[in-house]
Amino acid sequence: MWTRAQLFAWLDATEPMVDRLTPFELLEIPPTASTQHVQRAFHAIAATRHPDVWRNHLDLADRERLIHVYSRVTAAYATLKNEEQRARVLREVREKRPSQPPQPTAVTDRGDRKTEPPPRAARTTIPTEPPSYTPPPMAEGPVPTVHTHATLGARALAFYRRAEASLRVGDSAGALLNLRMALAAEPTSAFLKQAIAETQQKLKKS
Amino acid sequence: MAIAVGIDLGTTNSVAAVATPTGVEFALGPRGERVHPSVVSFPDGGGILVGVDARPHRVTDPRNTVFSAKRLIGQNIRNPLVQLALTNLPFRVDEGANQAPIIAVSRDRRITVPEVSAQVLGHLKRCTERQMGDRVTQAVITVPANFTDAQRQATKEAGRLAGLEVLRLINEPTAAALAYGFGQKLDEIVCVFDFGGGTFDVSLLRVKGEIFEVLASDGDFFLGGDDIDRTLAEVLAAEVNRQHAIDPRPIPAAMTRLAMAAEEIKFHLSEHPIAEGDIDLDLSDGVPRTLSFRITRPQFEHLIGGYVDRTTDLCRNVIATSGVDPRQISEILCVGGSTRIPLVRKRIADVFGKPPSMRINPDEVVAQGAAIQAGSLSGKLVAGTGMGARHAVVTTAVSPLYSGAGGVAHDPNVPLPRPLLLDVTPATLSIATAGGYTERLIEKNAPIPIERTKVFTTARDLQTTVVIDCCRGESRRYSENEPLGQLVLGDLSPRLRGEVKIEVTFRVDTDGILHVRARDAVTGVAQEALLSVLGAPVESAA
Repeated sequence: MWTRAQLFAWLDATEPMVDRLTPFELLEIPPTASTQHVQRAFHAIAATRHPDVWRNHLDLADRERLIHVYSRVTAAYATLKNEEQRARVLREVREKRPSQPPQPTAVTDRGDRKTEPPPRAARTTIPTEPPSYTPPPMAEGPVPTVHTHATLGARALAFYRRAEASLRVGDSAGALLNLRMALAAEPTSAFLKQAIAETQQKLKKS
Repeated sequence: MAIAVGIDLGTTNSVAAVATPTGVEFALGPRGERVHPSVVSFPDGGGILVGVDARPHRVTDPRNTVFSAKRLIGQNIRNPLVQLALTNLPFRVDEGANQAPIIAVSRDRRITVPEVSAQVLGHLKRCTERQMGDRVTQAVITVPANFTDAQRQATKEAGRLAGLEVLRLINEPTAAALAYGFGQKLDEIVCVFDFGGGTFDVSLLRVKGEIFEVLASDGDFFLGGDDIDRTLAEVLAAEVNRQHAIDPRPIPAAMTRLAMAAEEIKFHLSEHPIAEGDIDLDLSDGVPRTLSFRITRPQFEHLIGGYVDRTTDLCRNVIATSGVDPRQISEILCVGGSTRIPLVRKRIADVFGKPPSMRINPDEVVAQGAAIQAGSLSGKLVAGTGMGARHAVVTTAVSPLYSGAGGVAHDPNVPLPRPLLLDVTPATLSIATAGGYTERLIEKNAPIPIERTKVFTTARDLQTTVVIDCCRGESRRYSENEPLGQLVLGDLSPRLRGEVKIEVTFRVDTDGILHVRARDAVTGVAQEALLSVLGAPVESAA
């Protein structure tokens, strides 16, 4: 448990630079931290600094400050929980450049349109898509499917690997569960359906 | 000392509970019932009936008796799913201010949905006060995990109308996990399968000591026992039509009778393989009629299979999202009356590879969790020794940790350990960008309270006003998401397109309610707003 003095020392140190700290710094961990480490660090912060912990011990202004800073820590945790975003943050930290905000996206061009109709030429240069977005490729005709696990997405693959591990130790029931999970992540995969059918047969025999 | 109560405000039934020094105590109704029907009747003669007294009026006075109000709370009446839920309702629902539903009952009374829920909350408040002999001023109210912003705001509004300070809205599955794991010093992953009267939720939680962290959550707020009842009632209605050549569907009294009979048949089939009997019907032609029926469990299971499949699909989704190995899940907690259906339990066992836990009461566990959280937030609960009704929950009055009780001297500057609920947002929150796309600020399943800022710019040269449209949903296209409302930021300095920097901050508070702030980074002009959400209660009307 933290004392008030500890809490205020942390708030005073963190609040002014909360927008500039990397997620790793907010969670007080090195960039090499493992997934479990990230979760442990967040739990430790929650246990000492969650606004609920201090609910009846702070006045309104201090509570507002705590909620503001704590909410930023939660956002840092959310970022590091996501593999993709974590890799991006890690790259930025490794390159030792201050995390540059990406090119800002334009909000909708509505607003003062009535008072000031935009010139036609200007409208053609409005960015039509956020830069990160690429539309999914449209399938044309039957898509040739190669029936191996290499065609699976990351999530389905993770479950497939677990199923393999279960099969190696002879746990067909566990493998079946994980294969079904993989199928939930990738419902169109004929490869997985076949694997499930095979495992079910194996289970029946034993 | 005033009491903080925990309330499970359900679609069909509601439960209130208080954490006392001797354990969690349930508020009993006028007939000694723990579970209070969420039914409010407005008779022609005036007055208002709530709970167990109002329930029989569903048959005798269907036009003036409101039930399942939770399905309408905080909803936009133009939502097609809401329109579907409105079909066959015996009471009249109109469009009120801000596209919110408004219910027309006897004596030309027009009642908003939060007002109906406030009647239920007020009834629970009175029951608790009578039982505990003390004033009830504060409450923790539970909501389905996937409730939207508007639904949460409307529920809070209902609490306020009932004269309760709403300490917190907590998610029902989280409350159930809290009741299950509080004070047990667990370190495990549990899955809460909450299949209630109107909503379905599934949450995966890591319970570690007093920390309850939601890993992932999903659900459907138009999937519940009500849908099962309606499906079965439709079958019974077709049977009436066949036997008596009268279509009962336009007759509210007959349909209500069939819906209630369907509910009874559903209960019976959870225990027995066959349900058969007669239903007395009034088809409003003056002739008393009877409908004989015989429904077997396989027939019933065939009928509801689609609904149950939807729940198991969502379960698999949640497990896949969280990346947890299904064998790591040590317990599946069943919450809500619909989990009593054998087919549901069987399908759960199929998904998780083990049968669900039988150790908790599916009707009461949510209120128990809410009571523990209410005690914790009001500062009256300081240390827990165990779950629920059987074990004591230590409060300040008897805690050996608290100096006032003559125990160990305790430094008032140091807070005591208490349960910590780390919940998540149910949907991705984004704003509209040029070209009809969205930019995500807060992802689905992000922990709360959370705050994120992103910098945006103007789309046109010399633009002085921007409209920031906020939406909820997973699609990249704005039009495919559910609009939440908008914020207008004016008085921008007229500059070239892309030179103005607008900081948009989303904050989701511990109640799961979104606050949006927009700031012109150049001039420092700021606009903050709780979104004026379509379908939400209008402040001035309250």
